[in-house]
Amino acid sequence: MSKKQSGAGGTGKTENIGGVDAAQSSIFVIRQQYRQLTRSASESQVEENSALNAKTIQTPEKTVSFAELVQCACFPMSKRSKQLMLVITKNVSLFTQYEWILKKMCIALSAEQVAAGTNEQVMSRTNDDFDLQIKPDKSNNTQVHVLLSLTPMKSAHSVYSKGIFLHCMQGDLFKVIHFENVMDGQAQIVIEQDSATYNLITSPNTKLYLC
Amino acid sequence: MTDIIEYGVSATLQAEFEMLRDTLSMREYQEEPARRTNSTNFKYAAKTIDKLAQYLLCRNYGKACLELAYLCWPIVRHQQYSKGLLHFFWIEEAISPSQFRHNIAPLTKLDLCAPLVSLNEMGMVIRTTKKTFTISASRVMLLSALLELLVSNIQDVLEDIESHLSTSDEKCVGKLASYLQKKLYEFLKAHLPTANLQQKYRYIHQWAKENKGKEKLNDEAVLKFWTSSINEEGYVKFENAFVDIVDYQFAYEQVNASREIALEQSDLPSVSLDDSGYELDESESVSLYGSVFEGNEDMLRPPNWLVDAPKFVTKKEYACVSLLFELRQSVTQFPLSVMRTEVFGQWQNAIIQHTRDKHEVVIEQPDQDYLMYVEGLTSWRKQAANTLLCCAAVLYEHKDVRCLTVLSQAVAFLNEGNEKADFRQMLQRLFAINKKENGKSEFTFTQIKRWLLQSQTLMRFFALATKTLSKNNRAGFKNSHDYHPADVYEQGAEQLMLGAKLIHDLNQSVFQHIESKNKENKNKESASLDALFRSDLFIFKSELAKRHGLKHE
Repeated sequence: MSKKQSGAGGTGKTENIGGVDAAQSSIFVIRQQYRQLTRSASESQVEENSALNAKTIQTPEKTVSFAELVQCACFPMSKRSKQLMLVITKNVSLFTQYEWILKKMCIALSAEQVAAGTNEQVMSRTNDDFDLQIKPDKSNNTQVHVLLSLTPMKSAHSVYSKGIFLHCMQGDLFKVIHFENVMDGQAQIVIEQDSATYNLITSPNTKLYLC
Repeated sequence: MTDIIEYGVSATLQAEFEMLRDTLSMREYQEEPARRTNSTNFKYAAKTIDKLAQYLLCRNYGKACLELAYLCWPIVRHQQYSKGLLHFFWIEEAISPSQFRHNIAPLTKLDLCAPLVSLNEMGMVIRTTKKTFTISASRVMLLSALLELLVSNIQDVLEDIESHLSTSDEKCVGKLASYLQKKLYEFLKAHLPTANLQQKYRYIHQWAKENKGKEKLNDEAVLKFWTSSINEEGYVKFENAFVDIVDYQFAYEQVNASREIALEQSDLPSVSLDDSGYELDESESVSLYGSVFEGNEDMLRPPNWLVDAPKFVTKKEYACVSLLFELRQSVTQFPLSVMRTEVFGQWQNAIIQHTRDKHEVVIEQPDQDYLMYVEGLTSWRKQAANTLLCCAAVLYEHKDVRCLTVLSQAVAFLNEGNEKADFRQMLQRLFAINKKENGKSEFTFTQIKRWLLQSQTLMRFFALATKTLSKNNRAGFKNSHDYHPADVYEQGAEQLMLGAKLIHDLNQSVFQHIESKNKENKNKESASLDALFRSDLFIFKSELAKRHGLKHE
């Protein structure tokens, strides 16, 4: 392969200011950019130690991808998701996206309730898709039963065979209740009366998403 | 964080790509811990993301946007069956060819409402009154990655897509495609600043012109370029100067080569482009980028997957040869620069690190000299030979006929000369017998098994391969539960062979250089690897002292 040096060689076209060839210049640019985008993390780590790039990459707070948000909504009880939820509650943009996802994938939802007073507790919610009742445990007054019944149409629609998740959201608070066993659209679990989950689920300002 | 210098790609876009690569698949959550293999399930293949990078950098994403718009159309229109975009791309992750077909199948049964969808051997066919459009099943993963990038950078894009595509009129697809293209353009404009890379190019170009390279750029030019660029931003490190020179030459050669081809094909006098700055003629640039990427796929994509599972090399071993893999044919053109980068460049990195940690740095000499570097490469080759043996043994376990080819490659690396000759003779004999018996040169795994019983040499080498494999405890070589499909072992073996060849080429070029030096100055001190090192040490010491303000010992 014989190579002629300087941009004036070749077929002698596309001369530009200062004899710089536009095509060659843009291939050079793309080659360098491509290297930056295809380098694996460990390699760019090495590069970070270099004099020039040290200034540039002080990795900003790791961002959360949309895919992670979806995974978090689908598998809210996993360890990874629980950690992620702490991040989501602190970031308005993530929170908005997350709520959008829940809205899209839920089989039923219940918006904020109209209550007589702001502090009044809502012990039941009923709509066309489901019925939710919170009843004190007669044998143990520190606990309550959360009873869920879905209309037959809806119970057939849940995406996962792992039961039903009830996402309770209010402001930057949110909790997930997992009904592991759903039989004929009926499910129940017991929660502590002095828990954050209880406060959330009985507040009129809480939105509920059933997934 | 205030003084951010962005070279060609913004930190944000780099982080985006990092994120795409690291995106986990839903499988990662669904699989029971007990059934989990030790490798992580990523949503996208590395080469899919590389391809996406290529499209974006070459501003060649128009077609992908149109394909994506077409793909989304039936999904949005037939929500009651597809369950919508969120389900399709994220929850069900219908982006592998088979999963894609599986999820599209229900849509093909809707004969009445537009768009009409069917599946063929290529992928999904969308039929409208005016035309048909096919989306290849193997493209869906790329399109999904594009959508993922759009979603995380363009607000409400999923809703925009849904509202665009809510009609049965095909025109909505085109409109959506140009909308996406426009959004992408705006996004990239902010994140792919080309000005400073162009400036870099101009700087090298100017330098090359002034320093009169009538002949090819060489090691001497690289060193001269680096020393004369002491005040130029971006060239503190020798490695950067070297890599940029190689890229400069790459651009030069690629453009000339593709123009020559274009000229031959057209036979017309070339039309010169207008001098409107750096705006390239649209069609020239697209075809140019296309040919550059197609012609250099291997070089542009170094095999860093060798360190994954199956683990053909460790990260440390890969680091020894990663520069060689990145340079490919340029290795022989710049053999000394390769050694300088690996020996003095590493030293410079360490010095920079020390200075940053505010340690007092006294300049002595690098951790290794050229002889040690070359020895390191030799032992890399030995290790590669061992791994090749393991690949052969795994392929044998797979009852794959390619085990013999890989075995013979491994044997070629072994030191014992007699044994090598034995093996070669044995192979030739077997091939001859096979040809005589079967009338063709191909053979089957059953034949290999039969030959094993007949030939002691073959038996001995296969036993060696099996023994080596049994000692290998790296991922993908541990035991029969750990093996991956056969193809990947062949591909890994190919890259190991290539690595060994690059090492061989480098060695040869270095020694040729030394020989020619010796011929030049017959009566003076004779050149050797050590003499070379000492003279380079002198140059680098003074350069590094200047650059990093260091004291001599």
